[in-house]
Amino acid sequence: MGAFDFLLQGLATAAEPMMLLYALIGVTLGTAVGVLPGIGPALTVALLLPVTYRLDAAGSLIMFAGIYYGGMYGGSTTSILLNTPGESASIITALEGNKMARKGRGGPALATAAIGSFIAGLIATLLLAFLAPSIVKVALVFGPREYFALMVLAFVTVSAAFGDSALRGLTSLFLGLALACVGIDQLTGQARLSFGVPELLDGIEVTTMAVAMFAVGEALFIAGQRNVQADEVTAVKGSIWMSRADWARSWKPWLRGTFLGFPIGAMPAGGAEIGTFLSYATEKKLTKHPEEFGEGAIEGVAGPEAANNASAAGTLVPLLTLGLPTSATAAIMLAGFQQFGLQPGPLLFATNPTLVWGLIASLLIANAMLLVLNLPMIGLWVKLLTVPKPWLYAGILLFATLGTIGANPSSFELGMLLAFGVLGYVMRLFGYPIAPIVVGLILGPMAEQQLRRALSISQGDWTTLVQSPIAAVLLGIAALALIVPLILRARGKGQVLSQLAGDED
Amino acid sequence: MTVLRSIRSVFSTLRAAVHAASAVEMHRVPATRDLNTLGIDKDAFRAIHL
Repeated sequence: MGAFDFLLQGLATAAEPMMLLYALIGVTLGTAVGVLPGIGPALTVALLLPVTYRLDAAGSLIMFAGIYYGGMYGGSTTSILLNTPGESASIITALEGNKMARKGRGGPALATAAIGSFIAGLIATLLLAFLAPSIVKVALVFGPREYFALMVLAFVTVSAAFGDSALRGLTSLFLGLALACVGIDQLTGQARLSFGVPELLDGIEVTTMAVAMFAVGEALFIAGQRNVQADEVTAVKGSIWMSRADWARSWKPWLRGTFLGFPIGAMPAGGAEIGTFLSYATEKKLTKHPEEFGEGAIEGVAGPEAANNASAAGTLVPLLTLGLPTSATAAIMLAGFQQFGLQPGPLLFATNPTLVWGLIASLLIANAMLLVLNLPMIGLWVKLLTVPKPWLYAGILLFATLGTIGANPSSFELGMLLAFGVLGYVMRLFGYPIAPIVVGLILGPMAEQQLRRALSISQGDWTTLVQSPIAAVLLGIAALALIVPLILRARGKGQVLSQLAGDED
Repeated sequence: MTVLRSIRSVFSTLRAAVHAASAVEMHRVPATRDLNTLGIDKDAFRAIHL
């Protein structure tokens, strides 16, 4: 059977009434969290992890994917109407979108964002459906050393290659890897780093860690920022529909944004934000109306919005085919798969095709739902912003606590939630990235297992790790991804220092 | 030379996008140099409520 047949089968699964309900709940929640500044899809999926513990696996995963897509859609509304991005991937949309709204063109700005998101989501989901089987075929020949090399690459790119500081990224990663060592060693049965505490013998619960880091830590951080800027909503005046000229100026940026965002999303630690920045820069270079950039150019809304949605689908490619999370939300979704005893990767396509293809097909349905939910109901979404922020933060903390206790009823678990929540807050405060610690905790045990398997097969010969061409290439790329940014940063620092010296002269 | 310049321009834009993205993820305004490379007006960016 080809990808098209599998996709049709998946559509049949996704069209079941319960699956449609899960998708609807997901996209509605996703849009709501996308609209609310400070709350992103990562936080919401993390909050829902313990709650969905006893629900249907396929339905829960469809809901998580709906939240991810919905978050990307909803973020643009507040960017355009308030100049306050609902989530970080919509920041660029605010640049031109809010200017358009202030000029009375809020309707076309919202329309190009929603239609661009729909088109990008559609194309990117189809790309995911048709690319995934090919990647799965390649991944099926992977042995332990190739998997280990792939995980090393993911560790390096998530922590060191991208971001301001390789040191902070690696510190966060190694903290996650150390926490992954806690508990009973699967191979020898030896207790590791449990310090005689019986509750630690089972290891650190990924769900508790994800909720603590992304929900508790983030809520404490945004509450602590004391952001007193008044949220002034720019009213949508005139027609909400786009003119013929708006269509003509939007379709190319939609396509360019899609083809920029999709591969960036699939890159480890690419993140949706990179695609939006690149799309804006590209549109500004290619536009026939450069004078409008900075004053409300529709291309500056259409491109980045398409890029962030395409990036969400791109993220699912390595997650579903290789089991590799390339963003914070993907890392939490991986934890979601694991809580149902599922391991994303090539084998999942063979062992559970109904679930995987149902999930992919549900994205197409969710995308259509989002278009219907977003454009006509903008007034309703904007009203969400009247919820007092202290209620919101308190609600997140309450929901996180109840969810964790519900899934693991123990005071020790609650203590861990609070301790890791405070750790997440402190890490944010000092600029340490959060994704590496969670990725380290999730992928650490898998990397260890693959490394030990490879070494067992080779009877302890470490050179086996570079004897396979695929593993050697992956480790080579990982080394480059670690070294090249360090050199570039050192050169950049040199330039800044010489510039400062020049200024002082 | 033009090809080389184009490649260099692509890489510097990519690098600026990566740095800017990592800054906004941490709720910070990206460096002026990165914003300039991406063609973003510094003051307009600062006006966004991050």
